[in-house]
Amino acid sequence: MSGVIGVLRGGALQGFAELRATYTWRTWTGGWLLRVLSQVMFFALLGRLLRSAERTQYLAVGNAVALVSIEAAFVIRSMCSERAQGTLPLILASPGSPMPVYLGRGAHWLCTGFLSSAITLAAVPWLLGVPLRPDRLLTVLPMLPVIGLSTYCYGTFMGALALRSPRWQWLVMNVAYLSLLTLSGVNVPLTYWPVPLRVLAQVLPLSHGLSAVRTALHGGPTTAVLGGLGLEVLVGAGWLALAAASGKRLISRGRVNGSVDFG
Amino acid sequence: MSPGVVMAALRLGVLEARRQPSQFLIVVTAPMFSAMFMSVVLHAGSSIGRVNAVLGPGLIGLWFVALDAAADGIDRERWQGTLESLLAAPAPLTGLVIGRVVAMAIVGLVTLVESWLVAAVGFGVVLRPAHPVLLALSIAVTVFTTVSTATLLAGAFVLTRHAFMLQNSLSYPLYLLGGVLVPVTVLPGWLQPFGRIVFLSWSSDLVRDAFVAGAVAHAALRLAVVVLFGVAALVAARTVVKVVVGNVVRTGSAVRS
Repeated sequence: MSGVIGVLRGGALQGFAELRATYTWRTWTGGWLLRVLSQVMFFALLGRLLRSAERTQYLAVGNAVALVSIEAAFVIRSMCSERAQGTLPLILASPGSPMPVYLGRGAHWLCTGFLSSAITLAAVPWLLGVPLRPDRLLTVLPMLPVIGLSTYCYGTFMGALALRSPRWQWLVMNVAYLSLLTLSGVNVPLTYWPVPLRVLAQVLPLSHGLSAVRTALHGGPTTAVLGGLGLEVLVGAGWLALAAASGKRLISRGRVNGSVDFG
Repeated sequence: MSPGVVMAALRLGVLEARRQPSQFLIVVTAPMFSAMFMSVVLHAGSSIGRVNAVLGPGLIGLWFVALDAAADGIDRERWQGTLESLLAAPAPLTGLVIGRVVAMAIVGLVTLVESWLVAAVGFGVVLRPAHPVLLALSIAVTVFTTVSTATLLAGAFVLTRHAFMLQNSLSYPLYLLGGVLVPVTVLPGWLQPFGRIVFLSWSSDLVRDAFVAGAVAHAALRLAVVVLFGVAALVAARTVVKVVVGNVVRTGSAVRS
């Protein structure tokens, strides 16, 4: 167990080192944070165009919370970079399981995703004149990491798929998170979509967690909030199991036919 | 600027795009944006915003591919180790960038058609332009100015090792200020003046107005403003590239020291 934790820690440290090489606090704030604030405002202003303060707030909350999921999905690229850098065969040849490496590899995205979500959730509704109650805002902040972790597991599964053909990694990543933005209740309630899409949304990360956030922001019952978060955890666990199975298959085939190489 | 250089870069852009599936990313993602925007507008049960929801993804697509072609092209040359040679070559960098960006702008225009189809087939909303000539002219001047602006930004991308990061950071702020989904008049008051200095805000309003029945106010003047933005960007691009190339020749390095 301590070995697994050590590998997770090592993967996470490498991810943070990459983040520091990409961003400084100044470029993260002036570049990325400005971008995500604009992104959430961009969607929320559709509510203002429709002359509805309630819809503006709905869109602002949905898109701000979705940021933690979007950044968690960046783990797909982090995983694929192992292949591009030529380190994937070494990881697969090592005696330990590669899953802890992958799980640790994008942990920094969970931290930046939490910051992006929390800051935009507080700032954008206020900037657009539809502020959230500060006490309720504080209660939903601890829910963001739960949503992030659940999406991270989903991203790890998608990353295991993208590792098979890294030239499609951008496509996989964008479709993975845009599906969440479209179907998981970010812009319209789940009930808007036809039944098959509604069913699909039930097994996607973000859907239940975002519902819990909205319930808490409206002062809804604690049981409903906890129930939503519980379902979010279950969905995440399901994706983690799928990621492990998919990763195992990739490894066993790669070891047999040597198909995992630079790419 | 030699048309031969532009055409050669255009051919190269098309050939590179065929080998890189990521270059067609927007063709896959634009319909998802259309679905998102249409769902919000139709869920509200309002007649407002349908034109915005259909045209928004197309305008995003055009700007996204142009900026991506400029940034990705520079990044690729840098990692291949060919950027310095390219800057030292007699062929002007502006011509090379224009050729590549035009190649991808064609892909960007496809997203307009896709978005229209998603609205029609997926949501039963069929938009017909009330002013087809104005629509064609608006799209033409928008493509011209988009290509010019992306070329100007390519000069800045040469100076950084993080062109992709810069490009990524510029996306939503420009969509917002460019009024691609909602007009600048819907932005908070303190943001509106910034929107008016982004050419996309003029383009977006024109393209949307082409779908609204009735006379379009000051259409010729507004078209001229977009063209003026394009010409200014092109002139500025030539100056920026001249400075950058001079810097490379002087220091032997294609990044800001």
